Amino acid sequence: MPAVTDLPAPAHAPPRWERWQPWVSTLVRLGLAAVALVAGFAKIGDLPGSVRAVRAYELLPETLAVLVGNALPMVEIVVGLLLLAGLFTRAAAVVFGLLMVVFVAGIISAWARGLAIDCGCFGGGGQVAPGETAYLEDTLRDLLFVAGAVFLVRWPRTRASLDRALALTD
Amino acid sequence: MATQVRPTKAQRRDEARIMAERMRAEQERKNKRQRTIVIGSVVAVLAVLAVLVAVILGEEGRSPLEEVELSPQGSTATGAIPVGPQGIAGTAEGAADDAVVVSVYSDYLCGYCALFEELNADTMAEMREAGDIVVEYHTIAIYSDSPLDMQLAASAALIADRAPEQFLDFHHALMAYQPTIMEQQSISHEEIAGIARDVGVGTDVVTQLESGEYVDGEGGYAPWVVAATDKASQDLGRLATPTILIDGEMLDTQFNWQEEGWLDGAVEAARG
Repeated sequence: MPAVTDLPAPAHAPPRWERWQPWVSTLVRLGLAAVALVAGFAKIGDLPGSVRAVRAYELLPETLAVLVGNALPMVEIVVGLLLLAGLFTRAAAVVFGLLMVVFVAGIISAWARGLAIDCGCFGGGGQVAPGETAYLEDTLRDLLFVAGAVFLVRWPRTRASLDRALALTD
Repeated sequence: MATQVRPTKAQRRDEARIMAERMRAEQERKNKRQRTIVIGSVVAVLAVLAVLVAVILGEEGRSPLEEVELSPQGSTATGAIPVGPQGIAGTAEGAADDAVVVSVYSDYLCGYCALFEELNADTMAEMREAGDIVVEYHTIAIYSDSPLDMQLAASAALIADRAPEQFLDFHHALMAYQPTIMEQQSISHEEIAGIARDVGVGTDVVTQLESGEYVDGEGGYAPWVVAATDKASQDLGRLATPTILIDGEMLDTQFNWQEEGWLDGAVEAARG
């Protein structure tokens, strides 16, 4: 009859990715945390400006625009703090990723409709408002962030995280 | 060499150890799940509270135009300062019945707005004095995180309210002063008072400007500027300056107000 005891696993070095993954994920996690926190703190001191910015997209009815405009900076800060601490990393990455997807959709929608989103000046005669040329950059940048979030959802184990310290994950 | 039929003591001990380990692992999993739920709930509650606080504080900051205590006399429900043939802020008296309303949304820190004023002030004055148009000035502060912007808009509101006859000249002079303001990235109360004095504003109002008591507190116009800017954002959607409305219709952003005769054309078209 086969013995019940487990055999010790043969000793061998873990594949490259397994060694590097936690560090890469940590970098991604901290990078996204910085993005979220900077964005949130920049907006939270100027809630009327945040509401105006949401309104400018002309996508939401007035009451929702006001609600979203006021709530968004704090949501960004909360997500940023979670990512910074490495607490519920995967969930935070999902929320962050969704936010970025929504932003991209908004930017593309505004772009397509020829709206000028930034509080910019119009020179008349078709001169480009300062905000307009940033559409492509903003879209690409936000897509990059989405990629980062997806990466983190796939590989959420990181170093120096509360998830680890509280033994919420492996 | 008979096959063993019964597990030996050693094997039974090993089995027991493995069972214990399995039970420990199971317990640890349950503990982990419970920890996650508890911590997760706490974080969720805190997050919701934080967002609620932000939303409530944000709402408190808004007050519709009707509720603002101090507004420039004659200012409109859309947060504008109307000027008619008499050239006095707050009244359109004497304008023709079919006078076209030209709304000008501007910001004192906006370069194109200063240019607009420079190029079009004379034409607009002509048409206004003839009674053909009424100009509604929306002197708003779109850079809401800039106290400088607020200061400038509040000073204009003060002049419109308490020195309405000098409003047009003051508005023009303040726009012309923009390069200096941009260079300094500030403007002192004395400087604004000086500009007001130069266009003939009376001593009372000049003194108020010098004291700096035209922005916040009693006698301050900041609440009106904030409400007017918010109203502008609601009415226009995209808030950019300068924005021109002819009888409430927004001129296309491709429209070239740097071209001569654009206003005549637009007004003619509005008259139909």
